[in-house]
Amino acid sequence: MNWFPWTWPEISRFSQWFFLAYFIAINAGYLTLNIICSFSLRRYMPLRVLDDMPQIYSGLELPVSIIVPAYNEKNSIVASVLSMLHMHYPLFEIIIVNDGSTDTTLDELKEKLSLTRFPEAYRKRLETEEIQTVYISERYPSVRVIDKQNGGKADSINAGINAARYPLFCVVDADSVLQPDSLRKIVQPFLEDQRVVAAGGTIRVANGCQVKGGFLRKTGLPSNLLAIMQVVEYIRAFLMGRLGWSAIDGLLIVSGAFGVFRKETVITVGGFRRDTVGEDMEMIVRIHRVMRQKNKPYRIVFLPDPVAWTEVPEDFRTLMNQRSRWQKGLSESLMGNLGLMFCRRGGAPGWLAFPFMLIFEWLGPLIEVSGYILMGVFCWLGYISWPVFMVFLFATIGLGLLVSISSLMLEEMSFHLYERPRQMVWLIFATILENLGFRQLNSLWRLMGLIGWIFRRNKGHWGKMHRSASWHEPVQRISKS
Amino acid sequence: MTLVLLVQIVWARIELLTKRFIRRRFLLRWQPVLIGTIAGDNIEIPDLRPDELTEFLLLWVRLHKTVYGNAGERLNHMLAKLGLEPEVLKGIQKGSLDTRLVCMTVAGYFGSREALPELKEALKDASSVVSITAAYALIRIDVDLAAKEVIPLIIQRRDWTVDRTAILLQESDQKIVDAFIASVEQAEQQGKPYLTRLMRILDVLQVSKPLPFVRHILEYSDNVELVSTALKLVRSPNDLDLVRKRANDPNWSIQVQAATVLGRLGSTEDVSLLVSLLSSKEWWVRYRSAKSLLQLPFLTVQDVEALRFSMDDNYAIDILSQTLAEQAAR
Repeated sequence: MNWFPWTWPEISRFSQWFFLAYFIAINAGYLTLNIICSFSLRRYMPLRVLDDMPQIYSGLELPVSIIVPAYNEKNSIVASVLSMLHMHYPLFEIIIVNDGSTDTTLDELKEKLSLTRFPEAYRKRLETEEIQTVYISERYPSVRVIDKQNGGKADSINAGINAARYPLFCVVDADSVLQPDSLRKIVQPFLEDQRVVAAGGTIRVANGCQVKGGFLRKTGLPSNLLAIMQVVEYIRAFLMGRLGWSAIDGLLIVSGAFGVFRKETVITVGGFRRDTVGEDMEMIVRIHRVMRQKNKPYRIVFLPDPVAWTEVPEDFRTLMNQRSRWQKGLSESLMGNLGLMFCRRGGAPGWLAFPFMLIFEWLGPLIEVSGYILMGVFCWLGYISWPVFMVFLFATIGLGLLVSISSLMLEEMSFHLYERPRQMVWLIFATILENLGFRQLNSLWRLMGLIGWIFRRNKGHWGKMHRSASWHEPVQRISKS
Repeated sequence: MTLVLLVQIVWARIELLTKRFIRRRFLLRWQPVLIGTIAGDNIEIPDLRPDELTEFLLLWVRLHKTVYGNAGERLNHMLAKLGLEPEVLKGIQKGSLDTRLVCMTVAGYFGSREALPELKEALKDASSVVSITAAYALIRIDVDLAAKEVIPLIIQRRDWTVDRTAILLQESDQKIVDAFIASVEQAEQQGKPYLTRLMRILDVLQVSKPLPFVRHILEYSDNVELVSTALKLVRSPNDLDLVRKRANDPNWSIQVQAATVLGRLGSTEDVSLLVSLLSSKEWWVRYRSAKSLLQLPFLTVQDVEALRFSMDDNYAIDILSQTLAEQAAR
């Protein structure tokens, strides 16, 4: 080993400082976001005091096209569409894009919504796979269904954009359930500020909730521990991560499960990229890059309380696939828009959010997994002492726990959707448990996604997720209201 | 630190449960009283506990927003009987942000003249939510003062969104609407850059009388946004000559608005113009023209179907097929 310039003790010493610094830095970053969020929420929450009063509409609210891309969603599509139809908003249309489903999604829609063929004068402003048929609902004339050849989620959204009539479009996952006031709230930033080009809302976990006829009847926690840990994750990701970045205009992701976009902006930047699995994040990062390169004023915002509820995986395999896919999506979004990083007019997205994502979210899994393995091996070989190993564990697990608990605190000081004390106890328990294995496992899955992205740059497709939709009560044919 | 946060979470949860208990107790006692008051029943009014004040004011506002006529007066009488006006004033002066918003709304519905100085002050608040809530209250209390104080702010405050400002004016007395129209006319004469914003608000106020400045804009302006908005405000068939000219404007968004007006006010001589627009290269021009043809009172669906069969332009045939199908679906 003479050719190698460092000895093992030297490597272990360097490693311990490197990993310690890394874990402290990542958690310090999250805690900073947390502090920013708590200030944002303090400003935001009092303004909601008159929100649940009866609302009056002026007629100047921007009409919205709701695009629902669907692939094999027979279990939940009808309930989701019905929940959307009952949203409190003066003018909107629903465009369901059936992306060549191989199950009975289209038949379900035909039967429950009474679809009939519609001679749409289809405008092809964005390239998509071939459109086979356009249908309109006889029961609900504001609902159209585009039946097209399979091309992935991004391709479906682009087809929906082509058919959209209104200046704003809202992408909602077919398995999501919206709150009746979600649309009204999420459109508000577009009215308040002409520069707003995209807005994202909070996604919450639907497992364990009661949904009937497309409406959320009762909030609840799932009985599956894996799903409860994801409840904590979602609170942390949305209430802390996105709200924090939004407060400093550095938001790099608007969830594909529920986000509103200005149609012309999306068309100007070329529509959703069809060869990526993370089309939602890629679109936002691209908007940042293009708008900043062209020096155009714009804003991308996140709102903490327009809520969409979605089903999360309850088994390891599905969750592993999902996380691996998310990591590939992150890789594609960042690598495809590297020009944003440290660019001249990069602002918060280019100088803060992008490097943060790159170091802590993109490379994070690699550093975290190798950190755990190397530190364990060095400790076992005696290159580092037990106290040092304990400090390392404190920095990783202890600080992680602090970050998670502080996001629970944000939830408690704001929306406290989980009303029963027992639910809060479960969430705290899940938070502790999450840091003792689940996060590490998650890092491993994400690392697999990163490796998969390096070796197989596969085309954008639908993530295969086993959905039980058990929280939906069956939907009967509902009479026209 | 984690432990401290855990204690804080528990503490926050205890506070939340206490609030919920107060709310339940309040609703149990007060909901029947308030509903009885609205109905005009002679109900004995119980004492209001200090910790129930916010809940009471919120429920009072909620009910006020949903009732008409004498019921509102009865709610006001109840508030007066409880002697809550000083509390409301204190809330506007010294309350937290949410308390201020609730108290200003209460003052507006109550018609509290005592609150006028505070509301005038709140109009200047940097927060658009605070200032517009104060404006809502002011228009309910003193129309003349509101016309003097609020109209200039509608022009100045770009942070007041057009939809909220429109609702403010929709809920206002005609005097305030007239004052607003006068200020729009003045802005037009002075060529102010904010004119489009004001005209968008005017569009939803359902002003039936013709607006002379609209004609002036249609005749002379080359500002696309301004002309498009002015077209929305065309109320009289006397202005159709200008609308027809604009239907051939090189800008497609102006053509769209012109086609829409022709559907609303057009005569038989406009059919050929709308038919020619069906072959426009812009989808929206074709779509609005087709919709307008279906909207014309002297053309039946059968007439439009016959028109479709007589055409040889594929663009026109496709868009007519779509709009006819839409019409059939509704």
